[in-house]
Amino acid sequence: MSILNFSFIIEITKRDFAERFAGSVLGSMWAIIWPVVNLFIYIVIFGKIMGARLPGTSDMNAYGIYLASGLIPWAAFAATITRSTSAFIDKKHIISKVNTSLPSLLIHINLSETITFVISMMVFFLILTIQDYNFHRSLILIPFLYYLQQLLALAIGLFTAVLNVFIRDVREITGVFLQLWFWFTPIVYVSEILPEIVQKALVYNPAYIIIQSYQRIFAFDDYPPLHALFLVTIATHVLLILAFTIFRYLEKDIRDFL
Amino acid sequence: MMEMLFLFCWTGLFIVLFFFILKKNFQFRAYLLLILNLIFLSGIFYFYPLPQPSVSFKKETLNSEKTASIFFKNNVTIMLNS
Repeated sequence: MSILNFSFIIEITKRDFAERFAGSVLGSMWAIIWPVVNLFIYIVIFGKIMGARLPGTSDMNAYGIYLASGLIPWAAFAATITRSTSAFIDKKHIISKVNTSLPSLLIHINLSETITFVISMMVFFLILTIQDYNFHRSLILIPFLYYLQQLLALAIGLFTAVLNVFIRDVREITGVFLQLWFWFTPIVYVSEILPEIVQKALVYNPAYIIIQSYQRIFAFDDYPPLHALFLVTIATHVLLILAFTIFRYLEKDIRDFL
Repeated sequence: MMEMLFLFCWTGLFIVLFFFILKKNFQFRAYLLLILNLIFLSGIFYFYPLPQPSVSFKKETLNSEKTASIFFKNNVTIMLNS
């Protein structure tokens, strides 16, 4: 059996996306309405009505752009890990009936979240264009940044999905861990407000490196920290190889358990 | 232009290699694909042709916001934390 079953991945991704809005009157239009509402909150409510500002600037849109450029990728990252954790349990009716490749079940979640991410980014780009925003040339690195972030989510997701089959508490622990990780990563605040010792520790947070890369491209009109991303890439692949090795070792037990 | 050319050629090369390995029936194909992926992505971040010389990892990640700025088309440049 192949590790990656492309036709199966595409089929369940289509079904997953269709099921998300099944029965609603507006259907897949909700996939566009949600990002519009979220971006309205980030840019208009936080930036213009609540008057939140980035330190050292009086620009009304700066904080909204900073917030949106961090929250959109984080939402995809966190949702991928959360959904991957319970993927084997949620799809056990498929696993028990069809001899399917288990990693494909996690890759379809990645693809499904990618569709949501692309829609959100398109809405974000549209809002920036309306605001007469000058896009930086490092924007072409966004797909590679996103690819890296989702590989990291896949590695963590595969690890937690395997554990969750044997220990059901892992799903709740992952939720708590993601919540703490979100607040430890400067997404809604800037890193300068943290104590110096915490700022130094931030370089060991891979999510900070990735989110900061997006913030640099969109809010600071700069290139992402490429050397740091290089190190995150190596760490991500080491984690992915480790998670895959554990999965291969326990694959038979996972199928028996389900 | 140089950046676009680099990304296009590098990605194209690895897509060809990816499908070549995928079609072959190697014993450790999955691991081979993972290592290929590692070379692809780390290569992008390592060899990316930056227009200006890059700074060290620690300084770059901690002090980025201090020198960064936001540009809008109406030529207003706002320095952040400066």
